[in-house]
Amino acid sequence: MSDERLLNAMASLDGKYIKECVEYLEASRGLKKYRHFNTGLAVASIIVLFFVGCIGVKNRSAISDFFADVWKNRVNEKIDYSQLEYLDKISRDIGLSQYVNGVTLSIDSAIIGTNAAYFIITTEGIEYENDSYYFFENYDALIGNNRRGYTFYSLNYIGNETGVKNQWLLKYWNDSFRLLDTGKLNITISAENICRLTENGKKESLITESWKFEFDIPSETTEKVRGISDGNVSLNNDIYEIKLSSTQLSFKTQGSEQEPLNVKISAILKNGAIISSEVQSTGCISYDGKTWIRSYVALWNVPFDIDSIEKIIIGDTLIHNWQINQ
Amino acid sequence: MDDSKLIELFNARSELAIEELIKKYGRLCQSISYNILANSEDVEECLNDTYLSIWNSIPPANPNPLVAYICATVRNISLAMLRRNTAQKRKCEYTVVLDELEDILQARENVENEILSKELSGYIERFLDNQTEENRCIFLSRYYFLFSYEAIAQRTGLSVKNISVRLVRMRKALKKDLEKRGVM
Repeated sequence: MSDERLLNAMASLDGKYIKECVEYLEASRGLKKYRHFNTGLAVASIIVLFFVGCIGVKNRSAISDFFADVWKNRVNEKIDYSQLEYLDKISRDIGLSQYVNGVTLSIDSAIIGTNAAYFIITTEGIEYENDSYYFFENYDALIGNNRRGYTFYSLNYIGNETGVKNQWLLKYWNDSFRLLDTGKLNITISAENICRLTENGKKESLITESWKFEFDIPSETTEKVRGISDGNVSLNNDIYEIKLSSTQLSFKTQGSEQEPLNVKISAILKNGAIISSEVQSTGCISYDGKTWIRSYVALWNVPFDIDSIEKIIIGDTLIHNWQINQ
Repeated sequence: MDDSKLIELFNARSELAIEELIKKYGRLCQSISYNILANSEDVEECLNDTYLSIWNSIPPANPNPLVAYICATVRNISLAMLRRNTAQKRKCEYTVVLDELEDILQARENVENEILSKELSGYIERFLDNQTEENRCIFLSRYYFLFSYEAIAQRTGLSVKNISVRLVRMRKALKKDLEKRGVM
């Protein structure tokens, strides 16, 4: 155990230091200081950016930025440049906006996975306060004009990066409908009435308006999808048909009417980072005339490049990277 | 609402005191507790305990400055919970900060050599007095409030690299200072 005396001693510091620090941080919050401005470096950066732009490298999308933050907070590591590049590659710019009664709601960008889709939605024109949580009173999302199986969607406030635009994440997931199976995806997203949650938990209605978008996007596969070789490997006999993609892992179990599996699923990357499964469906059950089959879909807590996997752990089943089909 | 008014509300046993306290310092308390515990449920529990503890202690306490009293209360309650939960070995800012400070004071087995925490606080205060206001705040942000480098950079408007360099320099200076005083 490390020596804790210094941290304990910090607790006994005179209150004037604490007060000074709190006041200083409050006062400098939001102030952008420009220090040590290196003109040469700035010019060089502009030249590099110009050439990068010329060779057609995609700009970083808001959804990539969002998942880079998730990577830091949930994977507890700063995202690798290669992973960031991969997020850019699989993200799609949507760029749709609607202006209603002083507020512009935009669907900025998206990552569409096999069964899950993530959209960054922004609002401009509502007053922004740093410490507040904003939410829509009602919202709806539908992808592919059907609600087969179990559909989950949520629209959560992420925060405000720019001081102007509030950002939201729309997460959509269906356990049985494969979003990428059709030629094009028809998407409907609607949201109404923006509210603010005050510090003491009260709801304050800010805008009573509604926004609705209906649009199509091509459903070509942008994320990497792989199967797992189940021949000559030590997979648990109960787990089969494992399919791996950048957003999820799916598999089936068979042979009994047992309770649905409730296991931890993790992907350990070559650099040691651990990506975990965030949502695991309880398993769609079917009977093929001989045995019961359960299908599972588990979403990774952040989309990532599956070529960087060292191993996958599903409960007590270990899958090495050489078992992943290329 | 200023702090003296807030204390008046506590003295009058008005429930508005807690509401106003949360409004003014709720976010700060949440940050301190989360930096230590890194778990939303535990943080919520700690915040409830903090507000209750402040409600029970004022009056008779009449802390000045109030903000330091609140910070110390939430920090102590969160650390107590962390110690109760050590078996869970969560990775949080507290453990990272401990690793950073390990080099300054090596753990000693001999109890006689232990210096009193109060005495050490005095040395740190003198060290802080010799720093600029900005450096003092960066040092406290890291080692009192346990903010991450990124959070400090965001709040001060400096770069993460700059924060890191300043903290390394201050740690070295503190180590030297303590060596001079025979604490090491």
